[in-house]
Amino acid sequence: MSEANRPLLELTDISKQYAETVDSPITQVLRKINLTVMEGETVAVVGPSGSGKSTLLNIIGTLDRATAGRALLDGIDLATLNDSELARVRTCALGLIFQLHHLLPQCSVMENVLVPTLAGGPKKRAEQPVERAKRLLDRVGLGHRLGHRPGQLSGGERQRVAVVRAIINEPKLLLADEPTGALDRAAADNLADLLVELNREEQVALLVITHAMDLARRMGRILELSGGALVPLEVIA
Amino acid sequence: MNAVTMLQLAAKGLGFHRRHHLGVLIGATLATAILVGALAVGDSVRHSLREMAMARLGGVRVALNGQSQFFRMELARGLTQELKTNVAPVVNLRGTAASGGGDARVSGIQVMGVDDRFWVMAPHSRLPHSLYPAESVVLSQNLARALNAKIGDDVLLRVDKPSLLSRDAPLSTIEDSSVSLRLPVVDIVDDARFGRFSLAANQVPPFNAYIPMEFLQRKLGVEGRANLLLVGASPGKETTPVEATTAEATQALWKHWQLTDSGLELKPVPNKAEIELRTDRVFLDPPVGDAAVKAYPGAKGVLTYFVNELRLGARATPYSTVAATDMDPVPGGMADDEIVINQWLADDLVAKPGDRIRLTYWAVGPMRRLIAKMSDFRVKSIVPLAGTALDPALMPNIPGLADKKDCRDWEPGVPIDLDKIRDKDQAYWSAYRGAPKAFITLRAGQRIWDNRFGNLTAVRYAVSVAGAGSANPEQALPRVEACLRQSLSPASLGLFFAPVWEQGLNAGFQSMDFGMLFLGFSFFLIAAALILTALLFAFGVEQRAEEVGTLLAVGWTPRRVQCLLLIEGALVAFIAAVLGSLAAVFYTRAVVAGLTTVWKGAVASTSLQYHAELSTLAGGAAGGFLVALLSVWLVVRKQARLPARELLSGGQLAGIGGDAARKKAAGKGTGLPTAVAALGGALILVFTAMKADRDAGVEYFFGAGALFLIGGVALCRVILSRIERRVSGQALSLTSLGTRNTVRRSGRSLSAIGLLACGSFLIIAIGANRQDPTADAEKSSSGTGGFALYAESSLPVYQDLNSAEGLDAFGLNTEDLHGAVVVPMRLKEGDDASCLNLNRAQTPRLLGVNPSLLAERKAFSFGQVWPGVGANEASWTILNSPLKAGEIPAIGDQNTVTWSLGKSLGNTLDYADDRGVTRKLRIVGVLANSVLQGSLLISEDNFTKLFPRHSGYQTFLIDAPKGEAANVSKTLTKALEDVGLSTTPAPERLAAFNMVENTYLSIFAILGGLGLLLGSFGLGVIVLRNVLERRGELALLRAVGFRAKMLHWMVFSEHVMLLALGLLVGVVSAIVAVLPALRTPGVDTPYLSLTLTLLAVLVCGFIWTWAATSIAIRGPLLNALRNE
Repeated sequence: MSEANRPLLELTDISKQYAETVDSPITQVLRKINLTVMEGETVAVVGPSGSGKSTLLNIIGTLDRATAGRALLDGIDLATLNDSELARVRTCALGLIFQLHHLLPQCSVMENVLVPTLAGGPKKRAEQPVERAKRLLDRVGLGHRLGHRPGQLSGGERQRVAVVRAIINEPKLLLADEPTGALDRAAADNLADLLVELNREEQVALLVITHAMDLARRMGRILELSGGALVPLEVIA
Repeated sequence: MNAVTMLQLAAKGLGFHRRHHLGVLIGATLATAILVGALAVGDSVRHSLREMAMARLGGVRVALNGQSQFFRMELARGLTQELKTNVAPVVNLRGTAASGGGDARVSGIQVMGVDDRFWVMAPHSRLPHSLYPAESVVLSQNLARALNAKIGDDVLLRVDKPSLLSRDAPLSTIEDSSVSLRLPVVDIVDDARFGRFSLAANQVPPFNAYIPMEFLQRKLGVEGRANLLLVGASPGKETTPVEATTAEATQALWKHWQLTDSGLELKPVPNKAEIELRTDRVFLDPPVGDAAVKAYPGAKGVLTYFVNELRLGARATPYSTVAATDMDPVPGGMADDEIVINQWLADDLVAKPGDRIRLTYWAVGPMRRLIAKMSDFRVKSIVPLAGTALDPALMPNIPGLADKKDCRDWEPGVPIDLDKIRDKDQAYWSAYRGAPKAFITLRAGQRIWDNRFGNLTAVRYAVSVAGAGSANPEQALPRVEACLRQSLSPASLGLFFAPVWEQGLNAGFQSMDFGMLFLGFSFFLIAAALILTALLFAFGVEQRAEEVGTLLAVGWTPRRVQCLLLIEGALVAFIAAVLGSLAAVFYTRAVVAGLTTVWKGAVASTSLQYHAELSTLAGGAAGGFLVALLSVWLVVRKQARLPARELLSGGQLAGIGGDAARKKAAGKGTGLPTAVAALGGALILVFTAMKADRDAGVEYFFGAGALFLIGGVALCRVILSRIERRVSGQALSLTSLGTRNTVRRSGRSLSAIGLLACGSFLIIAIGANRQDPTADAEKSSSGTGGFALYAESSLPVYQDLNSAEGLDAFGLNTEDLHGAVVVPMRLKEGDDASCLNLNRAQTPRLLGVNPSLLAERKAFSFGQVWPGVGANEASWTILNSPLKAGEIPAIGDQNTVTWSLGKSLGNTLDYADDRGVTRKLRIVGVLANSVLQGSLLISEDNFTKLFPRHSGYQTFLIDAPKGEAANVSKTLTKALEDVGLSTTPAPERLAAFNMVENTYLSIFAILGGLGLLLGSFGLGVIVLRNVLERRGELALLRAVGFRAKMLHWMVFSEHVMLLALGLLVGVVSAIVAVLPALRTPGVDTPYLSLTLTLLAVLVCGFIWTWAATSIAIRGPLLNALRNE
């Protein structure tokens, strides 16, 4: 685990409820969730299907809004931001990895990685996007496949491209929703290694939603979401 | 590798999703091709008209058309030297032609006397034409064809013989008004050699016969004179603005014009110290007379008239001249009822001072009707037949009189009884010629003999005054002439140049814009193509929910995603614009081919050539690009509104009629109020229309139909919404499942219904207005005015064809015409301002009619009447309304006023009268669709004031008893063969006009029908998308045991319901809109073609729906199930 120095993400009493229609009953998905993720920390959230893991990730990833509670990312209250500002947050501060890679089929590996840079990025970059993309792709073992299309890659390779795409804008927090869910065991292990290494090398905090305990165990903390509440999980090695 | 750009990303998307974009590309290409093609049709028409104008005018830039005025040929020579360009004098007259055997006859031809100066102005001259034999004729190709004449054949020409004095004028003769010429054809000329020469802006080629100038002049008795001057472009100045040429020509004309060019003569009076201005037209035009009198102090006007009789009691002196003047021998202060007679007359009548003498003379009424008039005068004094009382020069050059030595050879234009002429009369004539026997004051003479041709026959100038002391008239003559030239201008005497080249080009450029017309015709087709484009683009984007979700997830804003999609759509639109412009070339060629064959009625059988300006193609392509982009934008602006999480988890993007539209449609409940309001409004309008007058009713019904359409679509929305609510609570069945699916995408369903409803509405509403000219043709309120025949003559008819005397002149009696009544109209030649002329009429034809003749018959129907005339009801008498500032009230057919002249009710039109003065004609009434299309009508009184030199009638409306029209036509055509009378059944003439409109309607119906078919294809696309979206559901149904056939029928019936609803709403609305037309006898509703069009749409809708369902259900549905 990387060294933590200050809070990056602070969730306070986050709740989320849904109603299909005005007349239909309310479904409480999240109940007063409290969570703090420090800079460079790695956290895994596990739980059964339907427990609200993805909802939580969507709220953190600014793809959804909480019904109640406060979410601070790097000290910014997400509830106070409009849609454009939230998009800016996603561009600069967050990286998202999904169970499916969601690569643009019409674009090459390199182009897919660079797509987020079209939306913007940090004002001061440590390195230029193209150089960074090349370095990272080389780092994940895809340096020789920059011009390949997603259809020409294996599932593990596609997911690695998705990982590089997620960190191209030098985010502070990388969110991964079942990143190994669609991979075989070997590929899943490789991706888990990669995520942990990138956390260390790029100084990016990592929050992983997963069913896979193998992956979860490699994170600094494991939390379980059950019955709408988040509790630390004792892991028996 | 460089950083990726939006454009690159869009290009990648374009390439990757090329199959999705192919349909979009086809739709947008189609829209662009039709749009550009429509505009290029306009180019083709304009280009063809320009080519025709150039063939018509060749090298002619400006022209002076003297019409009935014949000027010296030397004028042309003077202008040639002055302008340093070719100036061709031409004798230009109307006539008829017959083949040598007389079996083919053509009226209304142009007979022209020309020489080489004319031929070199032809588009492609081929010298020398001077080698043509002196007595020969050259025919235009169309005339040769019409006469079936070949080179070497003889043709018989009858030419209007010019008369210096209007044949309507008192004392003029109508005998010998034409000349017959039998001539061999020595050449037949095509358009390149002036076969099409004409000054009138009309795409219909005129029939031309060219005769060597000198021979024709000799035959007509106008040696050394011409009535038309054509000025060519100066060498090296071909590009000089026409205004400059006109100004230069006018300046040169001023310099070289002489009084004699306008038929004026200034000469010393024999044996007197006087100079006299006289005219070979007998009467000096009033403005000329006024100007001539005012030119010098002491100038005296003279009006000498030919009287039938001077009577005192039982004694009478026949056929004498009487002069009205205020100079000697009329003493100063003589009363207007007094007369001075010479000794010879006093002796003949045994008169003495104080006796009352009665003057009997002819006045000419309308249609040359002679009216015998009498005036009594008291003898003031008797003067000896000497000195000022013996002045033969006072008699004007009365045709048939002045040149006769023997009284018994007199042939004036009035009936005379030669038996009354005594030996002493002959002796007087031999000794003193036309020396007046009596004198009255000028005021008295002008009171009794004033006519529209003038009130003076001469102006006398006393040399002692005019010559400033010189008593020698010969010496004073130049100075008098110089002063007169300062007072008179050639233009005031009817000699002025017109910029015919500019007018010809303007007529083409300002013609009916076929580009816009076809754009209108193609509107629905373009709209359908664009809707299809939008549908296909929307469906393509819907397939890319994951991609959009990803972009949003990585931080793109919805606006940026929309921008990316828009760029992608713009790229498609751009390619479509390029391809569409290329396809437009073929489309335009096809339309032009259609306009010269099956649709030739729309362009009056004009031969058109394909032509497209680069600017039109570029502009059209840009237009196509923009409208396609607009369609894409309408789709794109609704995209990327769903959250990324939904899109990434397989949510649908908002497409046309997507969930957002469904929620809006079902949730807000605006459908019912809209339906109620629109249908209620429709009923109110129908109710109002029942009470309104006929014309207003039409608009109300159309408004009601449009509201019905809106209400119908809104009602469909309500129905779909209600069905959705109803079936959602029902037990699940195959039927309810199908119905739910229909209403699930209610916005999409409403799009299909609306498209089909609008299309069928337009096609029926417009197609039902076809005109049938034969219906109610006998009614005076119809477009025929109740007249059976419309007739035109090449040469003027001077007689009253309703009188026994008039008919007798043509060898007819009243029985021959079976009681037919003729309404004659004077004709001022001009541009045909009917829909049969594609050019914009610059100077329309004018008809002069006696309003009361039409008013008492209540002939024709007025569309509108200008409130300024203050008429309580629409009537022809508004032509007599006095208007301010000398404006002339005019009436025109609606189509003529609106389309051919580009005017509307109350507008004014500038028109040059005989003296070159610009007069304003104000359009005070417009007629509903009528046989009078093509001309403006003014009252005969105003006509003769504007065109005093004009004579006779050339246009006729003939009312024949039922069943006798053919006989009357045959009889009149035969009897008036020499004047080239041609008759047309009035319904037939109306049909020719209606054919243009009806062809337009046919084109609209065909293009609209194609649009509707495209709309039905759009329905197929909707079906395909709906079913593809439901493949999982259908697979499940298959998996649980439903047969494929059953599912096929379920899906098919759902969508056929949309098709049926769309057509039903459209057809019912259209029927409401066209109810008045369906009940109007004159309207020829094409039930068969309309029914076939709608059936074709229905069948195509079935086919698309069935095909789309088959494609969607075909193949292993298990994959769909797995995908779920």
